[in-house]
Amino acid sequence: MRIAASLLIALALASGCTPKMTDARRELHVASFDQVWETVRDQHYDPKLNGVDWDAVRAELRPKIAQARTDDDVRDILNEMLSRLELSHFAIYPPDMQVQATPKDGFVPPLAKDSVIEVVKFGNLPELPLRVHSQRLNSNVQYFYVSVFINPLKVLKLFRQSVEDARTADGFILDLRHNPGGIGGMAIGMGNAFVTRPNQTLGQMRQRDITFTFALDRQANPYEKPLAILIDQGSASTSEILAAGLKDIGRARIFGSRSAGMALPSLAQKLPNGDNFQYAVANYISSGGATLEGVGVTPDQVVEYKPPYNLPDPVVEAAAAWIKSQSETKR
Amino acid sequence: MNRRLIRLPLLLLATFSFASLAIGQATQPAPTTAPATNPTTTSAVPDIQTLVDQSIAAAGGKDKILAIKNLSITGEVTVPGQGIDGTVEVYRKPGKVLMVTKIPQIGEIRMGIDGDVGYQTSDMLGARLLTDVEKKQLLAGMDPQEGLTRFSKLKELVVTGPEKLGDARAWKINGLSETGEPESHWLDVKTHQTLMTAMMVNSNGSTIPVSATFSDFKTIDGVTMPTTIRQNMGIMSMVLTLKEIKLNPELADEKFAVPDDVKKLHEQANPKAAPQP
Repeated sequence: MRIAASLLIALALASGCTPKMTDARRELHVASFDQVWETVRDQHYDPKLNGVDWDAVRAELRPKIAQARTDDDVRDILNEMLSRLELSHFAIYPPDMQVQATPKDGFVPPLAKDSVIEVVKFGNLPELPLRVHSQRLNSNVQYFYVSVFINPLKVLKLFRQSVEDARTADGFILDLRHNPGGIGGMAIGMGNAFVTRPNQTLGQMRQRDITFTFALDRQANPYEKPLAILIDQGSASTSEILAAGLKDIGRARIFGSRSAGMALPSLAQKLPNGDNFQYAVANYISSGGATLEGVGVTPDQVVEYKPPYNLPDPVVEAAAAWIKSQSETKR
Repeated sequence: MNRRLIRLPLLLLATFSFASLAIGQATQPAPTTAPATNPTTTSAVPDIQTLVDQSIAAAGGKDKILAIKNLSITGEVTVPGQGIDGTVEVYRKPGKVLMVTKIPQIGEIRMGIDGDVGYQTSDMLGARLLTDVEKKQLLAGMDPQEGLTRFSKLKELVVTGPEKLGDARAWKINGLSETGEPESHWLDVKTHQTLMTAMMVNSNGSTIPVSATFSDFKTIDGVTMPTTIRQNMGIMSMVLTLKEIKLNPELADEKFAVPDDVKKLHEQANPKAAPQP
């Protein structure tokens, strides 16, 4: 199943006891089921729910709440309901969920392995481990890695400093491998640093009745040198929007492997039983007119990188070589 | 144990860009002039002039409204159900506006007009110049006297109702804006206050239907205005709670000064505006 095969962020639940299923708690679970069902019915960007008979799904699964013995049973039922939509960004997760700092497959870009991990909480999202790393490579290319789009105050400040540092470099590498997304506005903030022309966009976000444009705004002193973006199968959501958007307007060359294809703008709300419910509210359409959901971003240059993920990093090497070639061509 | 995988959401923070509209409307107590066009009304509903007169009185009277020149507001902003909240400050004097929204971990968003240059700066997004349409919207949205001419700018006005709006009943005024976009206003049958508006708003490349509901009316220096505003854009909502409203405070021009990064953008967009050697 595509959803299960997507990101490699494992969830480690706290080992606390599951609350006893009292009648009062079961009522909260039923209310949560109804809230999830109604939210999807009313706010899914496709009013036809991609052809899914939502009433039938409710009739089939709601009675199972009465048989649920634990909170996990209820989560399974709710997630089963959401899986019928066959889309990313629909999920139930417990309030005490923690995301492991190192993905299940062990991938962390080797250049960033020693970076400090900061745990960040934002809105109803779970606590997320954040790594940021910036350095000048020996090849005179600036390298910037961010593990997740969260804490814009800190990340954008470090990012803008890295871009400033890059003015004496031959180009810039933005590493978004295994970055599962986060706050969508951060893609615009980063994209803005690189656009040199007016009226550029990262695409559109189409809700049921409204279309938002991810408009880019040229800054007073934009970075004009070559830009390479690194992605892989763990790059999702905001990462894909930034990569696809800058690729479409011809501002970036993409290296690595095809991204996750999970690019639905979403929100997260608290349910009556205390769990969190993430739900997509829009479809993303790139400025080139492509839907990324289920498709992903195809790199301009496919570069394989297999465990144990040691240096040299072939994806970084390929990107740096391209930047050098661009620099030499210009000279 | 639940081991489902997650995708992180793209939180829809565009919401905050539109806060000025709702706050501005909160400070526009009533439309006070009859429309330039000939409105049509259905039977048993009041004509527009009657509604206008009633809402002027409900807001405190024309003289009180005309006396408002400067304005300062502080308040709180919340995205319901999303665990996101922050603060908002608004300052306005004729031709100048500054609105500052602060969201922990997102940072500060400043939107302003210094009398000439309109801009938005954001810790997250960077800086940009407002378009002429956006400047016009922002100035109108923050002008307490905008209500004096609001309906005269609308075409094809029609009054309908009353219709149920929450616990109240309201007359609905429909019209078309100067650009032909539909616009609606709901006026409370009993209190004559504006309870809701719906219109199209232009922001950075998107034209978006925005509605706002108004409640918790309070009287400040003889002018009655709402202190809770819920703004909706599609499925996104934002609630503004106005904590302190000052009418005609002293506001120095320096408060509205354009930030340095915006000055550079303005000079690049308008070479004649650049300092000459």
